[in-house]
Amino acid sequence: MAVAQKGETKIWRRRECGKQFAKWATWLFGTAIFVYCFQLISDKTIWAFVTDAPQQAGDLGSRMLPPEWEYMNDLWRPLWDTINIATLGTLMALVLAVPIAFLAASNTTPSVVFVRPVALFIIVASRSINSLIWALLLVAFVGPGVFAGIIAIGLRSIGFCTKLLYEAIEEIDPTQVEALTATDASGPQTLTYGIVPQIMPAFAGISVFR
Amino acid sequence: MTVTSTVAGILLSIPIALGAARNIAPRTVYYFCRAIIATSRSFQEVILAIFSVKLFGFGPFAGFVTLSVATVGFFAKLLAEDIEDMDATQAEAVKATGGSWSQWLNYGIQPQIMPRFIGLSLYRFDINFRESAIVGIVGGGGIGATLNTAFDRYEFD
Repeated sequence: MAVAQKGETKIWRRRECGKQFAKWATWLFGTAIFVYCFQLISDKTIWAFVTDAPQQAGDLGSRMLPPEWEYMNDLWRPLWDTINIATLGTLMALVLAVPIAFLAASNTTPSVVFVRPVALFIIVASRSINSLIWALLLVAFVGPGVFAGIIAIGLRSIGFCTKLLYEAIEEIDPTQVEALTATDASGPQTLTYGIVPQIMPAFAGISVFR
Repeated sequence: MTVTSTVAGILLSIPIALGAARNIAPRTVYYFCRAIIATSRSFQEVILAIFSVKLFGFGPFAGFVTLSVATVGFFAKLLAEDIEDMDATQAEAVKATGGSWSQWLNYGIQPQIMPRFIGLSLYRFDINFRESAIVGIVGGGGIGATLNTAFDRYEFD
């Protein structure tokens, strides 16, 4: 790390010459990319709109506060719908996430080569499509309404819950599982008594978080 | 939009993360920075996007502002937690040799958080890339705007 360079005396530099140059070049390249991208954005920006932002914020604020409580009568039903969507969507996601998590964890999957990539692909596909996009697609499929919302939330949550769950499964203590197999427990028994108790805290946390 | 908002968000969040780390910040600064992070994280990106489109007009600049603010909350929180996890003896050693404040940061703290920092920036870059599609739907520009136009024309394929 510290390089001594001899003329007549030794000089300490933090990095060697080549690395210092590479670092400088990376900074230059990165700054060039940033400036280029910002140029692209500002070409499409109408700067007059940007400079009058404080007035817009004031306008929005004056209309926003105080909130009109008369609207609340219209809002109770949709609020209840929202709570239902969240609960049922999360339940659906958890029910589906548990088997997929077991298939995706490298220590409990039946086949590392065939089954695990499929399970991982399901997780990635579910996570990469944002909730809003899922919702738009599902409204086109099943029509507008609460049902589309439940499925959209569920599909998105599958990816989230499964990812955290399978990471929790991979982190379990193998000695407990080994103790169970030593007492001649069958597969499902090992699962229920060996693995599930260890991931229960993580599972509870994930469900509430989601 | 992704590149610029990630860079801007990271640059903004470095001082906030330093202020939000319990082991190196005074109490008032700590609470202030944690409040900034909580505010930034409490708004969904879509809501922030609508708000900034109202403030700054349509176009990618609103998306840039939205994603930068969202990045600040995410990045500063995780970076602050990493700073709190650091080894205090290294930083103390630099201070003991009489280093100034910036040297203490540069040689004592920065080498310890660099791996996490790079990982988090790439992760956030990926997230911003996905979020820019959403932000564009509400008017932020970029690929989301194209998506929105296609939806409006019922061109689902």
